[in-house]
Amino acid sequence: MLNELSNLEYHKDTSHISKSGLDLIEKSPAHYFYKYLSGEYQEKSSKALEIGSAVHCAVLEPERFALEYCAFPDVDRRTKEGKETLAAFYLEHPDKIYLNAEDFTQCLKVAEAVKANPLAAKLLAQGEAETTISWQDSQTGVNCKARPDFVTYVNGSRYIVDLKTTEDASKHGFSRSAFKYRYHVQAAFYCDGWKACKGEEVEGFVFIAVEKSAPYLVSLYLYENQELSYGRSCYLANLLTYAHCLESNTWPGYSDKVEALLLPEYITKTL
Amino acid sequence: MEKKETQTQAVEQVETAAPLSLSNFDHAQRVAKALSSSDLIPQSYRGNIPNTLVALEIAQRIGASPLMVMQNLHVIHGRPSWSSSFIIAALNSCGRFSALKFISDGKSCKAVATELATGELIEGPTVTLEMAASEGWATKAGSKWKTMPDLMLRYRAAAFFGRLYAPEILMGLQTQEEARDIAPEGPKTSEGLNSALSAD
Repeated sequence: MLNELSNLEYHKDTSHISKSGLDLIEKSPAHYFYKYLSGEYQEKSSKALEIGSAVHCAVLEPERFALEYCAFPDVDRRTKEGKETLAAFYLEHPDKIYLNAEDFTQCLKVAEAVKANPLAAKLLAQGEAETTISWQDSQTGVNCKARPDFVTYVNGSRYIVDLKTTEDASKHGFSRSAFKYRYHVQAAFYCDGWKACKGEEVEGFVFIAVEKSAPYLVSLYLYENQELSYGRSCYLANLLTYAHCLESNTWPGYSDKVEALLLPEYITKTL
Repeated sequence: MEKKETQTQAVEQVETAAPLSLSNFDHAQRVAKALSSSDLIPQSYRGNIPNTLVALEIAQRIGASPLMVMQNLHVIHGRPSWSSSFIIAALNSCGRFSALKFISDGKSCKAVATELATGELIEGPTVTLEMAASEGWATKAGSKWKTMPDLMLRYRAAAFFGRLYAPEILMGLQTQEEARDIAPEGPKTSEGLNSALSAD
């Protein structure tokens, strides 16, 4: 069952496509093939990803964070004293995930900020964290999967809550990064997926956007119907492309011809 | 003038080419882009490349003209859905059945047709006004079930018949009336969540 997979195994599974997979298909099917099917791709441990997981854990599952993570002591490893402190530290925390002191503090600050926001705190008060869902898309027959950060009820209606750490959680700034990272596609894909997998309607997909530096401002956003509809069209187009590629086992990249290089649209609009 | 010509060429290209075949992957995207900037296509596809790509794909699958598909494939709440009259026309012209007939008493309706290969009379499921009420179709704001129940009964009976006996024509898609009937109640708005959070 997908639900029983660890985070790493969930991302490695290629029998179902996730929103990250759809993003690669959007870039080009060749990118998807390279990462998920070629066997050549080596997962690089990225600091940003590690911190992302840690922040999610600190905010959504604080008890697990306390059990699994700890701050690495700030010592000079070249000194005898430093080496002794380190040895004692490893003995005391043998199976933990180590973060440097700065990153550990950042996780706690972000978690505190989210907890201090009354709306976010209300949304996260009760619900289910990191539930894996899988379903078959009815229009393309493609197997899909998703792992919503948190699912909660507000006044009897179900909402999916997603935590996003960002440089800029302002309405304008977050709108730009949300579009860049195709959060509208994620929102529609997850809401429809939940309905298909669980048979339960989702009222909305809420983003808790939190800045990852002081003063750790928090803001909440929700895509309304028009944006969700656009996201749905986008993911459907990606699923159709993916279904074609799977069927014919052909994973094209970019154009095979010389293309005219155009100016960006925001410039041509002013011409 | 030049723009018009480019649009016409794009339309002609998709009429003849298999737009989403993989050798044409990049081409399909460009065709969708050109087509979506055309004045000849319905409003919901204009400037919307993803929607246009979906219509191209469906046209290719059912072997129909992309323009015809776009005229009859409506995007309701982000989902492609057929106009009911297109479903009826497609069933009538698919060559497997006689023309669809409706047996209705004003409160219920079923679609019937003769299967040409066997001469057997085939009956679709009966749709009733009671069903429309209990499924909540008739209570949506602006529902046509209140104003045109006869027509809605026939449309739904045709959709049920098609889904049962010729699913390849519907391709798993709903009719636009079905898509409207089962759309979630009320808009998803940030205001809605704000009031829900303050009420909770």
